[in-house]
Amino acid sequence: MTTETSTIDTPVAIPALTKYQLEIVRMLKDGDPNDVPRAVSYLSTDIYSSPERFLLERQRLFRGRPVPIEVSAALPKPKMYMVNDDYGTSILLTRDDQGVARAFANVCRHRCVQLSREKEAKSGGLIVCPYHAWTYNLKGNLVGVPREDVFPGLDRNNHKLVPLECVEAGGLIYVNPDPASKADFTWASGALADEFNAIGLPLQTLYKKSRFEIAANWKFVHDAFLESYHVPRLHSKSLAGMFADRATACVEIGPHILQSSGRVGYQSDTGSTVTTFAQFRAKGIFSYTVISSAVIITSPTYINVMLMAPQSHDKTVVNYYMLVDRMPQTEAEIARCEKSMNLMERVTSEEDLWVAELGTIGTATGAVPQMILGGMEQDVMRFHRNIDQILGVRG
Amino acid sequence: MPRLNVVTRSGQKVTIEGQTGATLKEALMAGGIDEINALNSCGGCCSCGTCHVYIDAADLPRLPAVQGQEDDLLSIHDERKPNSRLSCQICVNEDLHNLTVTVAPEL
Repeated sequence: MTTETSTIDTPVAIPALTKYQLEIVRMLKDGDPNDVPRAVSYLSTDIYSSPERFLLERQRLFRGRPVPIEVSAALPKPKMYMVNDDYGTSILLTRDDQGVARAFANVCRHRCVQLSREKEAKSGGLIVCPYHAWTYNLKGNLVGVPREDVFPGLDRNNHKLVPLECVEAGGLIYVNPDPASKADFTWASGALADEFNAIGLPLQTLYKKSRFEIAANWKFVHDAFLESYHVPRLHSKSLAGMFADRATACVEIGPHILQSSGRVGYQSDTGSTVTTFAQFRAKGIFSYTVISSAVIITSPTYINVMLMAPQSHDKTVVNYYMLVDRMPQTEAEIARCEKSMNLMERVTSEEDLWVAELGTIGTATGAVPQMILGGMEQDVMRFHRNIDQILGVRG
Repeated sequence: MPRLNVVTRSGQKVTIEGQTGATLKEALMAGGIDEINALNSCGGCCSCGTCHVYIDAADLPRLPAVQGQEDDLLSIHDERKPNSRLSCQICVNEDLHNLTVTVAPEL
């Protein structure tokens, strides 16, 4: 699908688990944690340290493809807009009066200056250029030109904001940041939307958004969320007690990846009885890796979303979201939410993102041309193989 | 000069003198109501919608009706009410003595 704009109807109720979710839940076992795959793979470390490789990734993964740049919950109502400058170009995201999410190059058609600077969702139906006050509505139409008589023959229809391909599906807003190319949104609006609808992502409310600017290659962030081998080690003082030291289950959804782990005490027969996310979410987690570039992880009472925006081979902006079924009301609910947010934000930034920075420093030395990945880390290899396939390179 | 009763965004009530022949926006600015003049204002030519005000309902009949571009811009406004006007499109005259006007929320 290559339409400029579209919406997916928000489900009023959360659908049953998808075939992929049912498949992976049935793969979860409570047996011997030592029963793990025995395998070794090698991964070239220059995929992290090479500036040339980064340019190729930016061209083929972050241009001409659907890039999830915002969660739907960040633009919760019609007639809202916000600016995203994290993907190497300034993007204006709007939700028009009918609720349709749209994206535009955030540039005035008059003198080509950046139009809006609102980094957080702002209500209002008009966007006024700060230079000469040319005014646009949230559909990108030029609706006001001061002293229009000095532009004889001006056709407002030829001076609309430049649209970017945009699809909202499954609680994410995907944009192709390149106005000159056509992206294929099939996965975003199809199977991935089914997955995220089934975990209720479009119905979530934004509890908090945090922004991290890290000195790390963006793929190192993904790597940290693609294997559980590190959990009892890197997270020994935080999350280790919540999960058994065992391999995660994994299924591929096109180039994207779904992993699942049971929480401590998970029973293998759970898989035969669970049919909805509500039944599963307290027992285990779903963790999605979307190319490119998002990580979505479920928890019993919230969902974390991370959107990675690479700036260079060694710098990444990570927008980190905590989404909840509804905003906490009572003091106890607020306290619980704050505790979870603080824990997850700290673990993510001080442990996972930190180690991504360490990996970036390590690969930059060139001392280790190939890293080794063991049996519990083979999903990391899947991720990189899928990326290589899109890039058209051999791993 | 006609007296104008102004309610600012913060709810403060101010009385100013309006210069006959000026626009209501110009009168508000001259009277110290700077918040009516947005950073990205079009300068008072009905193309940006930033000088949005509410006219006291009892005073509305004293004004000519909304039309054309003013109506188009107001129709896009989130905060439009039946008594919404763009202050750059209202000409101050003696007939507007004691008009009560409230500055609408920022665009």
